[in-house]
Amino acid sequence: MTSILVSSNDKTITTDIAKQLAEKLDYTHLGEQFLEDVAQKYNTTDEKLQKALNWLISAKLLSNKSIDLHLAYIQEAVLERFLTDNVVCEGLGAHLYIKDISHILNVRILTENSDLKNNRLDDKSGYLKNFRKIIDKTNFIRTGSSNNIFIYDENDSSFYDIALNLEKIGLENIVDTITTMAKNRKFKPMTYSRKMLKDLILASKLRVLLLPRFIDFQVETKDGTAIVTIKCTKRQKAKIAGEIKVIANAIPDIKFVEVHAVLKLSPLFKNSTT
Amino acid sequence: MTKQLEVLILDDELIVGKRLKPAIEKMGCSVETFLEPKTALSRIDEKEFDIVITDIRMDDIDGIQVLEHIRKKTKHTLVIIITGYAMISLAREAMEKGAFDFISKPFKPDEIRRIILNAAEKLGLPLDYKIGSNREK
Repeated sequence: MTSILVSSNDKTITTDIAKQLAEKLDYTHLGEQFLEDVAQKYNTTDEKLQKALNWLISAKLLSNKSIDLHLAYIQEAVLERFLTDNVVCEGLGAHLYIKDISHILNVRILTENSDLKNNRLDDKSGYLKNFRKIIDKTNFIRTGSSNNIFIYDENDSSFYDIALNLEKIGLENIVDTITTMAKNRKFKPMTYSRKMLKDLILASKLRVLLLPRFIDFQVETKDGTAIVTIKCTKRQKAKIAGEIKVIANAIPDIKFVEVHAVLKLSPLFKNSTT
Repeated sequence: MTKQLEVLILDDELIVGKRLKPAIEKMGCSVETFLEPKTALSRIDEKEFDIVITDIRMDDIDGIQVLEHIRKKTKHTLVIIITGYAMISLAREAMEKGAFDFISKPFKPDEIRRIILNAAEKLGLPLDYKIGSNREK
């Protein structure tokens, strides 16, 4: 069955819609409560995982090793969960790293920030005007963040399968629309889409294993071949490639590893698996 | 006596039919292969196949048109799309138009066999075949 990703600039709205969808479709709702399972799996804490997620939606551009690693934990655990199908996922940044899987419906809810909306009617002091400036700036920076981290601009509607305007069509219609779309045959799982998902999962698993040792790298996998592009000199490459291959051996489904050394890794590729 | 599953393979690359035919015949299916879409469609009009495996990019008639032709004719035949130019939009279009499955090339014989087993199950004609029982070099 089709799985669904829901995202928006308003966390409350996203969670509300995801819960309603899960109930209506009899799907599993995957939200921030899933962080407990991730914490257990990787022997870490909810707090560290939440900090990593908070960074993802913050205006800050620089991460650190702990944030990168905890985001990788979340990414790997969430991707694996999608293998079981029948999932509605929100609040875990999945819309940024799950791309081009034909049986996963990626939905963006267009909505004003609820704080802004609640203050709409009273603007005698000019508070609203300033607040809007802050929100616009945050969105601009957040767009920059999502661009730097995952290449994609999360505020660009064309990135999603469907973008629905909450203010114009209302919550109930949004839930109905997504439910109807999810039943469309074109979003059914197929061998091609399952393989692509498995490739993403393998890449994320390798990323989790490499992060404690390396920083600037990108991982891509296809049909059991892992391609790691890493920032290092040609002189360092042989030694690093050897280490990476030993680490990758821990993943049985990775049959072959290719390592490419680059002197400069674009920040666009940092933190990405493709 | 269990009905033998009738499979048609359509791909304008000779090697595809040459490799797939014995691989699927080993499962106990009867297989016919075609290089030309028009010839394949004439055969499909003569005989109802249980499964049709078709490429997408071919001269004159593409795999989506083959799928549409089959869908107009019968609901029974399950169509499996194989392509070296897989894209999400194409995959979704094929599924929406009634494909049973969609797989990108290159693929291993066991991958297509797995799909055939699923298709046979869906048709109510399960095959007595275990994946990995005939390892190919």
